Amino acid sequence: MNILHFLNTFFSDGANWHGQNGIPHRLLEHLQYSAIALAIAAAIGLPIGLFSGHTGRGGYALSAFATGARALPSFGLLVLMTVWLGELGTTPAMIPLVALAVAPILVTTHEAIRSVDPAPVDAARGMGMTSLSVLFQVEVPVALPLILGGLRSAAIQVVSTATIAAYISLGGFGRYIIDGLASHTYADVVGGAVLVAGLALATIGLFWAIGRLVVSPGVRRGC
Amino acid sequence: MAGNPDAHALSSPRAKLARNDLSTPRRGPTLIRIESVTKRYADGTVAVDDLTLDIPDGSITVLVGPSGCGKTTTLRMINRMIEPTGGRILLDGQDIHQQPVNALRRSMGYVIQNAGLFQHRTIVDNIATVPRMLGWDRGRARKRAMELMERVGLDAGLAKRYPYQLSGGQQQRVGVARALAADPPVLLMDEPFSAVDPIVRKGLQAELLRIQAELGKTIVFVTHDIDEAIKLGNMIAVMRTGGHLAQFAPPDELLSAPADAFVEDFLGTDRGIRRLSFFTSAGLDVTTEPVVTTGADAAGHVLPELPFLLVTDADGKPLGWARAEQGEQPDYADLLPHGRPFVLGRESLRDALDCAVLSPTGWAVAVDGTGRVAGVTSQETIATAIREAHAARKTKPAEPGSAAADPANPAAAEDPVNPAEAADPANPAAAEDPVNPADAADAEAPADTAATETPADTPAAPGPDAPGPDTPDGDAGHPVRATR
Repeated sequence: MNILHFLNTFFSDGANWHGQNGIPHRLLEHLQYSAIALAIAAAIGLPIGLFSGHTGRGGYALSAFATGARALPSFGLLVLMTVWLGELGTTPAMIPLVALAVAPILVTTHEAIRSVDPAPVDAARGMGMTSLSVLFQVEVPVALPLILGGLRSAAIQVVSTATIAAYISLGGFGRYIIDGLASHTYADVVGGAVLVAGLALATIGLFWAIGRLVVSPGVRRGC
Repeated sequence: MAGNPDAHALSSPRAKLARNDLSTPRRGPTLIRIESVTKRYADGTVAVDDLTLDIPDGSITVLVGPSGCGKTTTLRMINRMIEPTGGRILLDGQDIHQQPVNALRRSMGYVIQNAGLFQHRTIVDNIATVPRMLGWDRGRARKRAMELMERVGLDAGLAKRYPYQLSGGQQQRVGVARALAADPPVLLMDEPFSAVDPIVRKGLQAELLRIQAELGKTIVFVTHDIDEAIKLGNMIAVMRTGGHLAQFAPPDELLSAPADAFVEDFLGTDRGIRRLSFFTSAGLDVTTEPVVTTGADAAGHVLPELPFLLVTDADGKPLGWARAEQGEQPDYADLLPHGRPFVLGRESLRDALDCAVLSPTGWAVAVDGTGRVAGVTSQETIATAIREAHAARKTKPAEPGSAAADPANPAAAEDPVNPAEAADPANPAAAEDPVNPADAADAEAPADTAATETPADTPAAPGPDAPGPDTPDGDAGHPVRATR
């Protein structure tokens, strides 16, 4: 019994390709949880990071928050939220995922804006750009690769950690792992883990493609 | 010269901007007036202390001084990047503090060190930034940007490039083009050329003077380099640590009459020689007697004091010096190099003297604008011309019909804290005086910058001619001489 055998068993099982417990359906669920968690985290992290980076205020508070957020155990938070809130749909699962994702987005965005060369910012202010224009027309385009980097690492963590949603009777690729462990069907466990890893890699690819699309060639410098 | 005091109310910078014509020769109240401005920081540091300065219109005013003298702070107060803690700054007679800050800044071009280009935008879009902010449509803004690329000497093929693909000098040109894009009447330049190498800097300086000759903007230029200040400035404000104005004068006057030991020290050595750049070579005595066409009969051409003949080709262009004795034919096949000739009337006495010092015969070759020999002249003749120029400056009445002209002369040096009176009558004069650097000395600058100026300083300074211009200096009794 080796890994390849498990994989062969899992992926050649026709039952795993359709229906409620099929890979396409579980993929959709997994993507849905990840996307929602990432969207909420970005909605919190990006504006705060952009504002604090632009004004240079709140850097210390941010790094303190980030350190705290990184120390939070996602699984413990999931259990706590479930006990506390009850099994209210996806909410108990979203809270630990968002908490996980906000820190890298927030801190990286702040640092990305801070690290923009001050000369063009000075030039932009001196030629009469409003503060918002300076932020969105000068700072953000230049900081974009770093900001996307923060979003990417948040997304990878969310995709990997979204497996725990299955622990509170939700779907996603975590289903295979949790159920496989419970029923000693190790082929399902290995199959689910490989799917999660594959999705994480696909996420990296997605962000690379987004970067190619939205980052100016002048900032990418031909790479 | 000021004319109509009512006119300036109509010609606000915004109005000028909207008109968008390229020729806006200004006459009227001084565009930028700095009145008793002080900048004191919260920690008690005083960056600028009670500074009063009238920036003359349509010319280059250079703020120069050592680090910490408040020159950049002063510049940045003009577009309100820094707010003064005391005094006020008037633009077109109106306190800039009362004006919307972004509209104010859009009415002034702003050029900084390292250009500060937007690396995510192409060159053409960088230049089009301000027109776009002013609401121009993209096509018109880009068309304007392309015009400006040509004006600052950038190849149109660079339009679609990104800043990182350009050299430092090219980036700085883009910075200047971007500042000029909306045709602002005022240009603020904060050490724009300090980050590029000396050769490129000379090119950029020459280019700025050429552009300025075409556009006639009111330029405030900050530098720590006194040579740059003298080369570019129509007026120079020398500032000293603590934000005090040490002297406000045209470069010629600065070199001839530094207000105090600080200014003199800051000007550095050989200011006597450097001042010669402001003396035109027009009217310099040249003789065509020892000039012969190659192969011609040299009889009667050899001067007693010059055992050489300058040989020209049939077209009158110089070929070289031939050794010659009275009554003998020179050897036209064996010529000494004639060195760089100077353009009579267009180049300064400094250039003429330099040519003479570098010449193997000690005589300088003067040519006309087309490169044909206009004559030759000796170091002694040039020295005489220098003495005459000094004497003429000393005795020359300031400007006909200008009753207020007196303070503009020697008194200005003794009254550095109150340059307003000194500056006013001096400015129109500076703009129209044919010997003024902007018109005379700098017009040809693009042509001969790198090649000629570098060797000029070395042999000229220690040579026997160096004390020459100083000795007959009309300012011999000036107190600064004692402080050396």
